[in-house]
Amino acid sequence: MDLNIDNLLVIKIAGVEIWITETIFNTWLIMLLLVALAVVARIKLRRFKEVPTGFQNVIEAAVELFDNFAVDTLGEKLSYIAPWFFMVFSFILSSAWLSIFGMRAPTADWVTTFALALATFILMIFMGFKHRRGNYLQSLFEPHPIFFPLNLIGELAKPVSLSFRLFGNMLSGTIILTLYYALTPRFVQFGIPALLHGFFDILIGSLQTYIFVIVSLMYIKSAAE
Amino acid sequence: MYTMIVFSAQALPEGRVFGLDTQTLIGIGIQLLNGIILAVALGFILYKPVKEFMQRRTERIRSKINEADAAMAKANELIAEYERKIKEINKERLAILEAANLEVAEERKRILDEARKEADEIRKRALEKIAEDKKHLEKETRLYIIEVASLMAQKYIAQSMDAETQERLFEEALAQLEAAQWQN
Amino acid sequence: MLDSLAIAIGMVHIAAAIALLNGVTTTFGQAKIAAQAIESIARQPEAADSIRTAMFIGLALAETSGIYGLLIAIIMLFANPLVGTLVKLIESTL
Repeated sequence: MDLNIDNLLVIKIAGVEIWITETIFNTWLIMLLLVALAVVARIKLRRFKEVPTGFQNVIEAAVELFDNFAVDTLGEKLSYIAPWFFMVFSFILSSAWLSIFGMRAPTADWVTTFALALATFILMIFMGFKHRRGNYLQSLFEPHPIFFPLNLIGELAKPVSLSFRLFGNMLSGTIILTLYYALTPRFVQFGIPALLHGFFDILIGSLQTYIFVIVSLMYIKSAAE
Repeated sequence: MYTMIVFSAQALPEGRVFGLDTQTLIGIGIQLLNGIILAVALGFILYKPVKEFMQRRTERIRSKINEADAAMAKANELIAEYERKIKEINKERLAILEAANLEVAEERKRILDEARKEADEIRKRALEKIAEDKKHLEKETRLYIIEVASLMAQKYIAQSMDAETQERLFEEALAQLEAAQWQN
Repeated sequence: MLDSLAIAIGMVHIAAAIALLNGVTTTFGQAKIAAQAIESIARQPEAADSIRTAMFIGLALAETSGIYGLLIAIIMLFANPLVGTLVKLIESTL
C-alpha cells in the first residue's frame, strides 16, 4: 500500500533542495504528450482541408467546443483568457486519464491543484482590477465596511476551496483504487478495476475538470463585471 | 519505470500525501511554471492557429455564400429584365398587329367604297342610258304612232269626212297627244 | 510514553472519521440540489441545459464543506503536526 507521492530526485540549486516528485515528473510527461499532440496538429494544420475529416475533426471539435464554452460563460469581452483555461482543461483531463495507466495523477497532489487555483486567483484579481479598477476593491466593503473581513476571507477561500475540491476528488479515487489493489488478492485485479477506473478517473475526472474550469470562469467573470 | 531512478538516487526523503512546508511552496512554483509553459505552448501551437484557421474558413464560406447570393440576385435581375423585354416585345407586336389590322380595315373600306362608288356610277350611267333610250324610243314610238295615225286618219278622212270634221278631229287628236306627253 | 503515542494516533484516526461524517450532510444537500434540478428540468425541459449547468455549479459549491472535511481528515492522518511533535518528544526522552 503506497499512497505517498514518491520523491524521484533531489536537486540542489544555490543551497536550496528541490524535490522532483512523482507529481512533477508526471506533469512533465503530460506536458510532453500534449505538446507533441499540439505539434502534430500544427503540422497537420497545413494540410487541413475545407471539409474536415478524421483527426482534423477531433482537433477542431475540441478547440471549437472549448471556445464556445468559454465565450458562453465569460462573454465575448473577457474571452481572451480562454487559452489558459484550454490548457487547464486539457491538463486536468489528461492527468485524470493518466491514472488509468496506474500512474499517479498530478492532480491528486495538492501542489498541482493549488498552483492551478492560485493562477485562477491571480487572474481573478488581475481581471477585476483591469476591468473594474477601484470598484473591485470597493466591492470588498459591501454592503457595509464591517463586512470587510468576511469578504476578504470569502475571497481567500476561493482558491483554497477550488484546489481542495479537485484534490479531494482525485485523491479519493486514488485512495480507493490503491486500497483495492492492496487489499484484494491478485486474481480479482484484472477486469474489475476497469469499472473503478472508469468511474473514478473518467467520470469523476471529467466532471471535476468541467467544474474546476467553470467555477474558475465564474469567479473571474464575477470579479471582472 | 521509476525504480531505476529511485535506485540511482540515494538517501531520498520519504514521500508523503500532503504536507505544508517549503517543498510544497517550491512544488507550487514549479507547477505554476509548468502550467504557464504548457499554456503558452498549447496556446501558440494549437489554440490560436486552429481558431484562426476556423475563423478564416468561416469567413471564406460566408464570402462564398454572399457571392452565390449576389450571383443569384444578378441572375434574378437578368430574368426580370428579359421578362420585361419579352413583355415589351409582345406589346409591340400587338401594337403592330393592331395597326396592321386597322390599316387593312381602312384599305378594305376604301376599296369597298371605291368599288361601291364605281358600281353606283356604272349603275347611274346605265340608268341614264336606259332613260335616254326609253325617251328616244318613246319619241320614236310617238312619231311612228303619229305617222300611223295620221296615215290612218288621212285614209279615213279621204273616204268619209268633210273638211270641217277633219279639222276638228285633227285638233282633238293633237290635244290628246299633248296631254299624253304631259302625263309622261 | 509509547502508550500516549498510541492513544494519540488512535484519537487522530477517530477524529478523521468524525471529520468525514460531514459527508452525510453534504450528500443530503447535494441530493436536494439534484432532486430540485430534476424537478425543474421536468417542469421546463427547454431550459434543461442552463439548469444542468447551474446544478453542476451548485453541486460543486455544496461539495465544498465535504471537501473541507476530507481535507481535515487528510491533514490529521498524513500531516498531523501534533503527532510529529509527540514523536520528537518521545525520541528526545528515549
